[in-house]
This record gives sequence, structure tokens and C-alpha cells, in this order.
Amino acid sequence: MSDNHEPLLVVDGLSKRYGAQLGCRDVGFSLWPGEVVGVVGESGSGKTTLLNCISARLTPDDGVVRYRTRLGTLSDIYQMSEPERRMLMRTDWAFVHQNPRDGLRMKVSAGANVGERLMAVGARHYGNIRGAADDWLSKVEIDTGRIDDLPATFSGGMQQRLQIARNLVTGPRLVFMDEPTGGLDVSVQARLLDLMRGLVGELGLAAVIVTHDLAVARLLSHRLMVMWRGEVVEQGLTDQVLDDPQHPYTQLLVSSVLQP
Amino acid sequence: MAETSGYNFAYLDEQTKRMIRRALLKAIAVPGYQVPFASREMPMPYGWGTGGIQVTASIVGRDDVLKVIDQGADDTTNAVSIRKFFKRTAGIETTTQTHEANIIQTRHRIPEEDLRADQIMVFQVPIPEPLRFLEPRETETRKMHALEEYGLMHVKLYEDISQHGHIATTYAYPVAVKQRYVMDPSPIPKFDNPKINRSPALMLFGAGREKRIYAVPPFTDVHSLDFEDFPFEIQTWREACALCGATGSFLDEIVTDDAGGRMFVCSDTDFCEKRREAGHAGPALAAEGAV
Amino acid sequence: MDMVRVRGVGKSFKLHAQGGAEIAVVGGVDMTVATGDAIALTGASGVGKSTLMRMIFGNYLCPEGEILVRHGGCWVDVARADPRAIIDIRRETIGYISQFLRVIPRVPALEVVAEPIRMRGASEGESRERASELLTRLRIPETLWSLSPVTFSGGEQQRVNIARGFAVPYPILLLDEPTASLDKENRDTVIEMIDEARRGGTAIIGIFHDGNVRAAVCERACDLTQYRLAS
Repeated sequence: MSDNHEPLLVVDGLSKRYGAQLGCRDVGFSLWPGEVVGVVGESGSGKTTLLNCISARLTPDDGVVRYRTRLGTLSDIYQMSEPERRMLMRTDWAFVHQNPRDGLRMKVSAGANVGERLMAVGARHYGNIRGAADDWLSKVEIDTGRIDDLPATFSGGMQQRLQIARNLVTGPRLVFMDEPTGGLDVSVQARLLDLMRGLVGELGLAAVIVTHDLAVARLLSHRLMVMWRGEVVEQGLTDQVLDDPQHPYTQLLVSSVLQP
Repeated sequence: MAETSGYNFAYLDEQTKRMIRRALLKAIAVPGYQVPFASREMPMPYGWGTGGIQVTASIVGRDDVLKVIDQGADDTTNAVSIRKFFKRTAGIETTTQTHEANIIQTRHRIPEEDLRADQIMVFQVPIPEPLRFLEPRETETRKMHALEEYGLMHVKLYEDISQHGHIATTYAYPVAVKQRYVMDPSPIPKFDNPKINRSPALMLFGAGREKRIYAVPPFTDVHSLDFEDFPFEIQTWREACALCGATGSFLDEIVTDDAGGRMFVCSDTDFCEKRREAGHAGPALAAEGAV
Repeated sequence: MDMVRVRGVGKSFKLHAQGGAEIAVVGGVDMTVATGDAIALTGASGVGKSTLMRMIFGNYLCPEGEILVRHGGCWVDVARADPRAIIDIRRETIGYISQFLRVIPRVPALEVVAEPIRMRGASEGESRERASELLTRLRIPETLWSLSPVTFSGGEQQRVNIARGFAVPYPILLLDEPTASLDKENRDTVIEMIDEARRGGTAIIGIFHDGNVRAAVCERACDLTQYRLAS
């Protein structure tokens, strides 16, 4: 973790309902630069709702989400102007979807997928854009000979790695990940996890990772939040929450898995 | 040809023309911005220039002289029938000569002859949205225009270079109008893009099926998108026009027999004829003359 | 100089799956460890040795009492510190070597050992060099360095774990059965390494079932039986 003492993201009293259905209730936490927070819980516990609310993709009913911009001011992301917010989302933030098809442009080449965010912020030198794409493909262990191939010709694991490259190319400071390893074979998962762990550490990224896989959470996150029925029932240091769980639901969750 | 009775001048009713003129004024005020308008049913199918015709019908006056070109030619079906349409519904004079016309409706070309400030170009546009190729959602493309998020346009050019080694888009080549809106200049060849830049003539674009109007006012900066290391270039030909010998015009390739014979001729028929009248002769005519 | 001060520490586990049964482990533990001290936690199995050690490391919550640790010149109460502070303490102040290596798939043995060195800001080259020295000393054949320890034998995994634990100097070192599955030669090496650390000023708290190892490493013992709570 970096020795930056100011939090990057501050979430306070966040609630979201879908009609009578509860999404999440009264969630609050802070995230510091370089820190990875895991959000665990079963399907329907509100993990994804929370992730969408804090990443400016779903307006919450209540509560505040503030982000420290590069200017150093803590701004309410839902009070920003839309251009400001969209700029943030495609430069300073990254969002990795569970299904790479949701996060990739399937009809353009791998290189263009990686280059898009650069062009979006004004890169206009083809050679440099291609160089960056090349560089990022190797960073995520994709053969650079595939730079002009369509993502549809890639395996699931490669698509997921391409999605990561596409997101990280602008040097974001905060990454949101929604079940990044879901739907992948175990061996492919291991490679991806190792890669993400390396990148997060190397680039000093802050990240919020939603997962139902406790092993993924243990490997990647410094801190853990356990969600149950829309509320955070327990949070703390990852290994502490997993090894000495306090809440009945967390105890059940931990004891239900094979060797988390 | 006699003016058809029973129709309002230039076919459309006056309320419709007012509506379209309002859209045109807005389009001129915000260069490159696609203004929605209530496109009418026209007595011809979509794809035959219903957008351009509605624009022309809304701006044409009794004293105007109209020229209609299709692929540069005045004598193709589309050009002839549109000319006939206005002759019958408005009783106006038509011409095939660029310098005589003050309204030029076009599909696919801008005349080679320099345009003047008292002329108006009307373009028939099939798909007005330049971003559609990569982003099919209209809600999203409108937002992208509003927020000036045009990175995607370069993604398309990037793909061109990575696949073909150069920007292979040859027509409907996207432009940035007055450093703001990215616009599809309609399916004209990129050869014609520089003619829009700072043109003294007013350029109006009408898309009938898509119900959009946009415009480039006179003397507006229009920049064809490109990369620093792959700058925008227009097409060039090794050949001169076979008929008039012109070297700087847009040429069509014409297959002349079944044995692979072909020749290149000006796509702008009026331009080519004028040159021939002035005594220029291309290799085909020169050869003929020699026989 | 005192490094760890354990004051009135108590711990019980509440098992919600078993009708909220409370399992009391220890209560009122007092213990002080200074620089260069080596103290062995003793007592029968289940007396709470590992539990106490894990509380000092921040791995278990400490609901009762305080665990003061000298971290960067200040006293920090691990029992109340927030997760970020504990991560910081673990990087700089407290090292912990358990019996089991938690292996990360695909990460080679050399990297496992080099990681804590790099986390303190050393270059890739420096950290690899130091890691190689440690693996050599602990007799891990060089052919294995580039492989993930997942496939290693228990003893080899244990030695990789020890190498990682000794990769950077910590002012406080927690050892939970570090020599459990080692042969004599390697056990002696580990004892040597522990002793070197202690002489270098590290405060050591250890759990050793092997009386010989305990005697070789520690000068005093803290028997947790006295703090045992009746359930």
C-alpha cells in the first residue's frame, strides 16, 4: 500500500432499492490508494448493486459516494457534471465485467480495443497507440501476433485479460471488478489471478473486487466486506475475517467452502 | 414540360417547408450537428434522395436554377427523375451546368468546378450518423456528440490502418466541423472532402429515412480525421481522363469490352464536357482524332 | 527495549452454527517481550498458543485486553488497530512463520521469497539475489526455484515458507512450529537463522513442540495453562 494518507473513495450511507426489493442498505467504507477491497456474499446479497452504485453506473437512492480526483479534491460523483463523470470513468477508473463481452468491443481488433481509451483521451499518433497496445498485450500475456485479431477468436481467459489491458491502458487509479474470474476454468483462473495480483501491486491500483469466491478474495484483497441481505454484516482485514469470522452468516460462508 | 397542377409549389405544403427551414436554420447555426426533423413521405422510395428533395423543396424559389447530379453525372436515372420532379412541381429552370445553377442537389459527388457564395449544395444522405458503425445505440451516439467523445471515430481509422496499412476508408470519410461536431459528409469520395473545407457555398445535408438535417455554413473549417503519422490523403490516379485529359479530377473506371479493356473518365460529366468544348482532349479522343 | 506488551488479553469463540456456543480459550494473558528476547509459548494442545500468536499478528480479533506493539517508534494496539495499520505493521514490524505455506498458484518459489523484499522497495535484482541466498541456505535445489511450490513436498514448502519469513529483518518474529516437518540438518539451519535474528535484536515469540528446538532457541517460556479458562 502506498503511504498516501487520504482516502481515494469515501462511501457513506449508501442505499438502493428496486421497488420493494432491497439492493443494498446503509453501506459505508473508505478506500485508500493502492488498497484492494473484496466484497463477498452470495448471489442476491447486494454485491453487484453496491459495485454499480459506487462506480457511477447506478444512482443510489440515498447516501454519498465521493472520489478524490487528480486535483486532490473529494467530489461527490453524483454531483459532478456528466462530462466530468464520464471522463473519470474512462480515464481514472476502470471497470472489469464478469463477461468480457460486456467490456470489449467484439467487432474491432484486440489492438483497437486496447487503443480505444487512449484515442478517447486524444492520442492521435497511430504508431504510439499501436506501441502501447503491443506493450499491454504482452503485459497481460497475450501473444502480440494476435494484435489484429478480433476478440471473438480469443478464448474466455484471453478475452478477460484483454478486457483488463483495455481498462488499464490509461493508467487508472481505481478499478472495479465484478466477478472477474467467474465463468473461467480453474487453471485459467489461476493465471488471471496471478496476473491481476501482479498488476495491482505493480501499478499501485486501488480496487473493489466483487466475488463469491473466497479464495479469490483472500488472494487479491487486503480488506474484506461481507454482504448479506443487502447489508455489510462484517468487514475487516481479509485473513482475519476469513480465519476468525464473527457474524453468523460469515461463519456459515467460511465453513461452506473447501479450504478458502 | 408543363407544370403539374393541383400541387403546392415544389410539392411540399408551406407548413412543412417552414418546419424544414427551421431545422435548416438550426443546422446552420450549429455546424455539423444533426437536427431532427419531421421527414415527410415523398412520392418515391427511401434511398432515392427523399431527404435531399425535401431540403431542396424547402429552399427553392421561382427564380432558382437547379442542377441534380448522381455519381457526378447529370444523365443518370436518379438525377433525371429528380430534375423532372422539380420541373413539374415547381416549374423552375434546371441545368446541367455547374456555373449556371444556384442549387445543386447531389448524391456522391461535389462538382469539380469551384463553387460560389451564391450557390447551395444539397446532399442526399443515407446514414447521417458517423458513429453508427461502432456504436449502434442512438441514445449513446447522441450523448457522444453532446460530450464530444469522438475517440471511437479514430478506432475505425485505426482498424483501417492495421488491416490495410493505410486509412482505407475512401468515401463517407468522417470530418470534424469547426473543431466540434464529427460529421459524415454523406457518401462522397474522400477526394471531395477538401472541397467542403472553407467552401464559399452553403452545404445542406438531408437524410429522409433517418429524419435528420445538418449543414456546413460557408467558410467553415472542415477537417478530415486522421493520425499524426497517417495524415489524410485524397485519391490520385496515374491516368488522365481518357476524354478530356484532366489530371486533377475524380476519375471513374469504365470497362469498355469483354477483353479487359478499360478507360478512366471524369466522374463529373459537366466538367469533362466543358473541357472538351474548350479544346482539351484525352488519350482516347486524341487516338480517335489520329485515325 | 520492550517490543510487545500483552495486557489482560482474553479470547473466546462464538460458534453460531452450534447454537451460539461460546468456547472460551484464554483470559487475562500478560506477557512482555523485549528486543533480543526469545520466548516460547507452552502448554498442552488446545491451550491457546496459536490463538494468542494469531491475535498478536492481527489474524484473530482480540476482544479483551490490549496487545501493544512497538511499530516505527510508537506503540500500536493491535487489538484496536484498523486493517491498514495492521498491514503496515506486518510489512515492517512483525514477521510470521506458520507451519503451512499458503501458496499462490503459478508464482515460482523464488518470487514467493523475493516478494516481501520488493515490498520494502528493493529492486527486482536485489530481492532475487537475497531470495536465492536464503533458498540455497535452506537447501532448496536450484532446479525448483522457478516452479510453484504447490507441487513441492511438505518439507520443501515449509522451507520456502521459512525463507520468505526471513527474507527481510523484522523487529518481531512469530514462529508457529517452524521446524515441524524438517529433517535434522535443516532444523539446525533454521535454529541457526532464528538465533542470528535474535542476536540481531529481533524479539521472538515461538511455539515449538520439539523440546530440543525450544531449548536451543528460547531462553524462557510462557506457559499458557495458567490463563486457561474453563468453558
